[in-house]
Amino acid sequence: LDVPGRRKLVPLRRKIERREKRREEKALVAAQLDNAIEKELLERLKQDTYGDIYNFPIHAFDKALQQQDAESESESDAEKEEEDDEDMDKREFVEADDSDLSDFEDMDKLETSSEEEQEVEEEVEKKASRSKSKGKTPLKGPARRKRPYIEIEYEKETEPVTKTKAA
Amino acid sequence: AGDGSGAVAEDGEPPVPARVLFPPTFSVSEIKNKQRRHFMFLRWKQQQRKEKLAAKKKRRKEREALGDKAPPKAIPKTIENQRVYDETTVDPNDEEVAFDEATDEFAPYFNRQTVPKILITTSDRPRGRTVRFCEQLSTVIPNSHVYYRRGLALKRIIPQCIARDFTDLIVINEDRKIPNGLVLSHLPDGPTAHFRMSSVRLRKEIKRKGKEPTEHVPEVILNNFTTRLGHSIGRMFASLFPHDPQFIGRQVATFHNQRDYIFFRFHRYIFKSEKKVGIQELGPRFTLKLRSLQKGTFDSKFGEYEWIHKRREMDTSRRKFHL
Repeated sequence: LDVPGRRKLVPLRRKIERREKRREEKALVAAQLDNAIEKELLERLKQDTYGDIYNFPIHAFDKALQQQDAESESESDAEKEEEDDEDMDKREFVEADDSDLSDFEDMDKLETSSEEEQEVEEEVEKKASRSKSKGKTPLKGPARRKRPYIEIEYEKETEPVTKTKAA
Repeated sequence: AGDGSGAVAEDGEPPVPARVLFPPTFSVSEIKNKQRRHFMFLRWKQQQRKEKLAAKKKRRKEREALGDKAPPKAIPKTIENQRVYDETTVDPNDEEVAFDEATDEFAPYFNRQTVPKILITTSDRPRGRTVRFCEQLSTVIPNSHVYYRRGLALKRIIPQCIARDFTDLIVINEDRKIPNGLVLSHLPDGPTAHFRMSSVRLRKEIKRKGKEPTEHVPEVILNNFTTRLGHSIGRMFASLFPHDPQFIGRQVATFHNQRDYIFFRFHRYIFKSEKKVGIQELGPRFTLKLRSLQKGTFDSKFGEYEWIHKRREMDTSRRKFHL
């Protein structure tokens, strides 16, 4: 019967179906999709396909430095250079608040309205400026000790976090 | 169960010595009694495991002792490592391939002369799941329209589509109320690919807390399409989406090829820092396996096939893949 609505039935072979299903599962496990997608997105970010949307100013510096300095001896150097870069970028903040920072040891006493991130960066800058002035080796101890407490987080201030349910 | 005869038959709680020495001509499989045999086999297995652990520890100690001079760790063999080298693997600098791609049917798309407009349809009388899948697919692919057909032959639809300026046609085939096949046809006389679809998950079945995909044009990621065939299929997928993704939307559609299975995922991403990105899955997901690739538009009898999956010939080796 050659009626247009009639479909041709082609039976599936059970063994083949099972084999295909099994292979697909194994391929899925091997694919590690989430990791692959994340890696690809980070690659694209690195290659600047997104342009200026995301503000990671020191991004390129960090990547280059971390690739160069694999050994631990120069690690502190690298981190101090990072801080130098931060100095250069946030130069306005350093100059404005330098008077406040120079006398205070404790960050808790700082009562500025700036966000925590800026405070953190300023403290790091302070360490960097001190280390620069006094030479690198003497301050390795406290600088290294303080580092675990400082986490430089590049928070995006412009974009709202869309994962929370907007009203 | 012949218990209690001889030293060998110890059931219940036998005090197993640390190192059981079997007489050299003894094999576990020669014991006729099943219980005893089973027990001896377990003991043998335990012993093997202990030996393996001891060997591993010894190797690790040797490795630490050598320190820097230790030989590099051996890379475990995976199917991807052992893959039979396919001679049609595309080399990124290959000029012939680049020239071919500049002149094939997708050239107008990649030269931005055409804007993709997609028609999604199903086979006859689609059932609930297929209908919902079509709807979700049309939200994922921008500029796509879903039309249902009742009894219309595909060959008659195609000229109409071309007349109305559609660039691609997707037909979702259904079997027992679930979609199981996909025909993707590039319209102005372009290649037709026939896939088998599996593991279709609709949006509500995916565990996530996100919202619906927005109208922004998503980015496209094509992973692992290495051979010539894979390359052309990859271009086919790429031509479904408009050329300029809107990065504000932060959506990405991924076609990932692994061992000849193409996994489709649709995510929303957010960059938490320059080295960390979070992704959240929205949108349907499915996997495709290519069955055949035809040169012209959909024509099952007289079409010129560029590639067909022939099970007897192509599935012989576990390390050989075609995409």
